[in-house]
Order: sequence, then C-alpha cells, then structure tokens
Amino acid sequence: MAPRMLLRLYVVGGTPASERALQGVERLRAALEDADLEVVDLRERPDVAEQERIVATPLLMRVSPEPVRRVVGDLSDAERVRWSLGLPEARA
Amino acid sequence: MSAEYEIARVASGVDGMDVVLGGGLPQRRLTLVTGTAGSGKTLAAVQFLASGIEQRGEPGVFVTFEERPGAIRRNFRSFGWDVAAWEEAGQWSFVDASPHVEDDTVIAGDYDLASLVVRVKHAVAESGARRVALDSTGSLVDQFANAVAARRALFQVAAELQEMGVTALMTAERGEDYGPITRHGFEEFVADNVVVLRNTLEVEKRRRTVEVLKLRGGAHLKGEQLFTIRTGRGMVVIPQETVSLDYDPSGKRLSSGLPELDAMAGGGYFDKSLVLVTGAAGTGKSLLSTHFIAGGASNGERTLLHSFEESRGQLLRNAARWGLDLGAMEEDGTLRVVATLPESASLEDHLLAMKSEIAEFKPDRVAIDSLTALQRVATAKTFREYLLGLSFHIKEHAMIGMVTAATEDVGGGPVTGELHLSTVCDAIVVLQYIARGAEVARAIAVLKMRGSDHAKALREYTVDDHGMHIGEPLAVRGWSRLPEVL
Repeated sequence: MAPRMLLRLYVVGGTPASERALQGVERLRAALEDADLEVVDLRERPDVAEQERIVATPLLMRVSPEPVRRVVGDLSDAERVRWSLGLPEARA
Repeated sequence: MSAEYEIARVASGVDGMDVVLGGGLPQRRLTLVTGTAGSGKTLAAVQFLASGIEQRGEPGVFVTFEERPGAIRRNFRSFGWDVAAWEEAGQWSFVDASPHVEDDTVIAGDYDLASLVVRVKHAVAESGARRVALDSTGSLVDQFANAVAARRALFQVAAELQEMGVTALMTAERGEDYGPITRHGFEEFVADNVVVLRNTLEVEKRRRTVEVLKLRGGAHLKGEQLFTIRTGRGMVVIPQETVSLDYDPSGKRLSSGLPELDAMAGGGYFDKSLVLVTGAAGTGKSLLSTHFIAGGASNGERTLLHSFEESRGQLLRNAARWGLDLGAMEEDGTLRVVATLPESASLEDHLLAMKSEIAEFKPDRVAIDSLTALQRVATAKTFREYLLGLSFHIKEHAMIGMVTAATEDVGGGPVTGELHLSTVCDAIVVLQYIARGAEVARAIAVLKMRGSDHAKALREYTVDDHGMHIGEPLAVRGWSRLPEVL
C-alpha cells in the first residue's frame, strides 16, 4: 500500500486570504480523504516561516510523496489546487 | 527649528554622508535609497548594517528580496566585512525572501505577504536588532507580479519596524537617473526620507552622486554630492562644503616667498585663502609655487606639495636651478612632496588621498601643481565640485593653499572662467609673456585679492639662479595679443 499523502497548510491567522483558505480546505475535504492535513499558523511558528522561506500565504504544501509541491492562494480555485497537488477527483 | 521637532540621528556608516544628511540617518525612521542598476544600493544597505556592528555593536537584520545570502556573504568580503562571522556571533541575521527556483509555486487564488511581516518581526525580536536593511523592493514586486500585495506588505513592515523602534534602510530601483523616483512609484510613500544614488557617464567619465531628496523634519545639504566606492571602506561621500562661501578671512598676511610680490598684494597673501597662479606654459607657475613653499619654510611653516605634472626628482632639480633646496626642506620636515599621475585615479579619489595626506602631515600650506593636469581626468561639473571641496578643506585644515593652472593662449586666455576658478579662488596671480618691440619678456600681475586693496599693475620679472626678480610697474600700451609695452 502506498504511504498516505501529507499536506501542510501554512497560514497567517487573521488575514482574509488565510481565513478563506481555512474554509477552502473544507471544500477539498472529499479529495483529502486519503491524505493527512496539518495546519500551521505562522504567527505562532515564525521560525518555521523562516526555515521554509515562506513569503506568500496561504501556502498549501504537498510534503509527501516527493517531490514537494506548493500552491499559494486562498484555495478558491479547487480544480487548480487538485491538479497542482495531484489530488484525486472529488467523488460525486 | 524648535527642539521638539528635532529628530535624533544615527551614524550612517558612510564617510561624509552624515554631513550631507545633516547629522546622520533619522533614528527609528525608514529611509528609502533609490537608484538605477549599479548605482550602489545593495552596498549602501550592507554598509549600513556593517557599520552598526563594527562601530556601535548594534545587531542588524538584512532582508533580501534579490541576491541570495550566499552571494552577499561572498560579494562584500573585499570591503573587509565578514558577514558569515557576524552571523555566527548573532550580530547579523538574514531574512531570505529571494526567489528560489526549487520553491516553484503555483498560484491559485488570492494571497498576501503577511508571512514576510511575521519573519521580519521575528528576526528583529530574536537578534535584538537596532538596524534593518531591505534590498530591494522592486525584486519583491517582480517576484510575485502583484504590486498590491507587495505594497501592502511593505507598508506593514514599515509600520512594524517603527513600532519596534529600529532604524531602517530600504532600497528601490528606478529606471533612469533623472526620472520618476522609483520604478513602481509607491516606495517613496512608505518611507519618511528619500535618498537618491546616481551613476552617470558624462563625457566618458563615471560620475557617482548621492542626493537627499526628502528628509522629514530635518536639515540637510541640498543637491548632488559626489561619492566613490573604495575597497576596504565602501561608499565614501565627498560633501560639497558650500560653507566656504561664508568664510571670514582673518586679517593675517602670509609671505608669498617674494618681498616684491608681497608688496604688490598689499602685504602678502591672506591667511585662510586659496591663491590661483595662472599663465601660459613656461611663464613660471612652478617657480612661483616653489617660492611659496620656501616662503613658508623660512617662517617654520610646513607645506604639502601635490604635483600632478612633474616627478619628485624633476621638481627638486628645477628648484635647485633657482637656488632653492627642496630636498633640505623635506629633510627638516617643512616640506612633503607627493607626486601622482592624474590618470591614476578619479578626481574624487585624488581629493580623498589629499585629505588623508593633510590629516597625516598637518601642513600649514598646501600647493597643487597643476589643476590643468587634473582637469583632464574629470568632467566640468565634477571638477567644480572638486575645487569647492578642496578649497574648503584647505581653509579648514591649513592656513593657505596655492593652485596653478595653465592658459592655452600665450597672451593669457580666459582659463579662469572655463575652470570656474575665479569664483572659488580668493586671489589670482597672472604670469604672462609681454612683447617689447621684437623682444618677448615675462611679467606678473595680481589680478584679484578678495577683501583688499592692491596694486594691479603689470611688472616685468626675470629669473636667475636666485629665482624670480620682479621689477617696476610697466606702462602698458595695449592688450591686443601680447601686451605691448613701452
């Protein structure tokens, strides 16, 4: 069995785009069923922001499987997000 | 200006720049440095932090939007700045917001750069930084092709930096040296103060200047000031010290080295003045400056002679022919000769070299032979600024200066006008050929003496192995080509 996909969503809490992304993740829920999702608020972890050199948020990162893929934006374009991260089609 | 509006200043770390800024960079404010590509913006940003660490032990944060930290660590080693060592000591921190290809990112929807604000705040808090440099905003805008997000983030960064009480310097690109302040047109509204760096080619000569465009609530020097970039020192600004125009000449007189010339000048040259000796080739300009040196030495005054035309050996041999022993004066410490090729450096660097010679030797008199040679390596504008700087510096640090300049016309041409010399110099001594029938002789006149009555008559002079001998006033019949005398 293939290892589960790990996704990490980096946000800066309180900003409109990050708040929208937190809601957008809900819309992706069906596609995320087979993936683990972590949410990191960079206000609480500025060291992570520095380590990952994050300038633009919200940032959804496919940590595994490799290669790492990054999507920046409020996830309003679910189709594009799915395609970029290689997520399965939403089941009807 | 009342004291409550006075803004505390911090040293910029750039030699001469604090004079231009009227005391330094405004503390706890953001200053924008804009310039075209290659104008020295990144250097200004790095030097701002480096000097804070070296001179004041203040930690700094460098936010880079363009060059990688590795490139900055490497590129500034030649200036004597070991960024990597400062990082290890916790004095220098990078916030790396430069583009990385491996971080290839897809954009899907709206976003902002709030993370940048988080990172800058974090770096300042962690290191206890007192200074922050951001280089350069245009790269941030280009990286995200989103000017709105970049602008908002930079405004937020500026507000946070002010909140944290740090002094900040931010750089931005401009398209042309004389055009809009910045390429993206918003940075000047983020900053309290705006400084412009220029790098122009003028008649094949490079000309670097710095200009303070806006300094909120503070006095500063207006206009473009020359600067140069030196290995081991970074940017060095040469302020045009216009204060020289208000100079109050003391009534004290100094010997020209020739009693007859002293009499013509009404008792000698003034203390705190710059004397110009002008004349065609072979009229005796170097001879007159040699007398000037000897006149000082006979009074125990020390002279620094900067020669741009003749070697030291040549100068000594010439002087010996006139019975003046420059070698002996060098030995007893009343003379220092510095012979330099005009083409060996830019005018800015020549002026800096001379300033350090003056600081070291502490002369009473400074002689420069000749300005004509120096003019070859500069533009008219740079030359004028050099002259003003030179004049002020000599008056500030020595008693008197003498400069020589050649006229192309053997009859004495309009050299003073072309070189902007007449307004800068306080006294002008003219040497020229005269025609008496078929015979050509030489004559001397004191054309200008600021603040004094003096005899303007032309007098013939001769030269022998005791130097110059000045005769009685001549009756001049006309000034057609060579002055015809009776």
